[in-house]
Amino acid sequence: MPSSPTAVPQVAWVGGHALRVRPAAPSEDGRGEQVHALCAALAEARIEGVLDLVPAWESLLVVLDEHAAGLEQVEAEVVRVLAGAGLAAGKPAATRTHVLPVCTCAACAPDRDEVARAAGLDAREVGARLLAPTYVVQMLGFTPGFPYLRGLDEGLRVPRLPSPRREVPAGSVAVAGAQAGIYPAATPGGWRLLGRTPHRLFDASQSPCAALAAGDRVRLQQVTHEEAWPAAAPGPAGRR
Amino acid sequence: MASLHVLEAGLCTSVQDLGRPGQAALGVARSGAADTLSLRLANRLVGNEDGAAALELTLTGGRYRVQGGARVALAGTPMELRLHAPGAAPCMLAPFTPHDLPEGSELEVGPARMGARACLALAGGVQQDEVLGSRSVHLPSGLGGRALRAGDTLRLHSLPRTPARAGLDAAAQAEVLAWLMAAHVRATEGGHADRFDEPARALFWGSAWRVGSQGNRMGVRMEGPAVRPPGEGRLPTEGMPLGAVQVPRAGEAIVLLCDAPPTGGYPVIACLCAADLPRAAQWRPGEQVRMVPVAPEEARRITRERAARLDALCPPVAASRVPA
Repeated sequence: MPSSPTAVPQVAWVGGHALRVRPAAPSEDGRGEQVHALCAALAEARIEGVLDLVPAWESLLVVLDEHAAGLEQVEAEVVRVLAGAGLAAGKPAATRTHVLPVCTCAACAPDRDEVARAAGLDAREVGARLLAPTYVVQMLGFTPGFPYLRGLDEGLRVPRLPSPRREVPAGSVAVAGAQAGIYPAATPGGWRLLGRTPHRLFDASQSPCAALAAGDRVRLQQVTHEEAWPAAAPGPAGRR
Repeated sequence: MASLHVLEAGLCTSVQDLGRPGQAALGVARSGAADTLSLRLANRLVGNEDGAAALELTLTGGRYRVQGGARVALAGTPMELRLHAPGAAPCMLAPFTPHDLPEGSELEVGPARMGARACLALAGGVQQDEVLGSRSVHLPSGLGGRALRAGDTLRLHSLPRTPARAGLDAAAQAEVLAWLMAAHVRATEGGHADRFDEPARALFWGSAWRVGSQGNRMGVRMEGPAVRPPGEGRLPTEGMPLGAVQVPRAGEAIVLLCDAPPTGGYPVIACLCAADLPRAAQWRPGEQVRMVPVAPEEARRITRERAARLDALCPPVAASRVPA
């Protein structure tokens, strides 16, 4: 749903060289959607002195170049572009939808039974509810190419693990609170693991290097373990 | 083509330049030298542009053999440099000064006696392929490579034919070291400062913090008074600037450095002034640290003035002068 276009986002300095933009939409989903519209407007404006645009769950960070001259003017320009973007918000943006194969077997979903217990569901229902939504990639963060997905089923919203795992297998589809995510590489992690995809989410030698981008849509498609990792093919199948 | 052969790597030695800004929306950290001031300075001393790839050394230096000759300079914590040139007695080399090392010589870099990091710049820069626009190594993900190990060889440009610049004089060295070893750092209020209650903020700014032993290029963990974070220490995930001071739980603060993820979910009570990030990169475990509050415009002014002062002490090298 397009959110209210009228309210002006709040802009504040975080430190001396970054601006945090908070959209004014009343709902969390609306703010998330506005983050994408405001980020797109700033990206298109190509303001000199802006180093990075970092969309997040319900805010946007604009990182400025400490070596650029006249950062107060850069701030004014950011505010001007954001004000203009507010008027255009609500215009439906073109979106890409990715379909990612996901295996939800017990080996790929080591936290399934505990989440099922906590949520009062049976294990199959946990898998079904994980696969049902069309997710929105709200942002990438944490580690290169890690997507934070909006749209998780209310019944699967459980707290993260009390202490993080030392190593989460690459491709793990995981949940924590209202967020779902996918670990692009084997890293430590505290989210609950409910499935695993063989799809490669980050490859620095490719352009773009991240398979997903903020604003994209993602659907998870059930596959068997053998379909995900054919026995003959080399790959991560054998490892954990 | 010359090369540098690693005989002994230090505790954490990696190739770093000014990092990969512009990739944060992909979840890619800035990386680059933790102490960018020392990187710029070391590069300028050997005639490089500020962003040439250099070695970042941590607490201990290591031992390196030069093949084909190299011009080097060390900036940051003044680790001891000992040159073993073939057919000559070992000799000490001054920091903050360019030196031409002959073919076959060995450079021994001693431990840091104060501070934590130094940059060893090499004329022409370390030659290796860029990954996402940078030669920097992001240690947590392996993007761009890994920390150096004994047996690694780095490609270098040949020894420049132009004479080396003069090194920094004693007064200039003292001034730079005073910046890098200062007893306090300047910081602004953080993005969530208004969510901490007044006693928590007063406690944060009014107390000394102790640098913990778990520091790395992602961040420095500090121990201090029981500053209670809002939201039980978790907030919706937000973009995090370098130097953000997060409070995950009472008694603990984390200062984000160059390898930190571009996003995070802990409340941010303060944010280090950009000019003082090099100082944070020099913190040693056990050190006491105080933070002095400044307004954002003050942080920008301090940062501009610091950059101008560095230019006065050691002017930048004109762009696109590739050594022969």
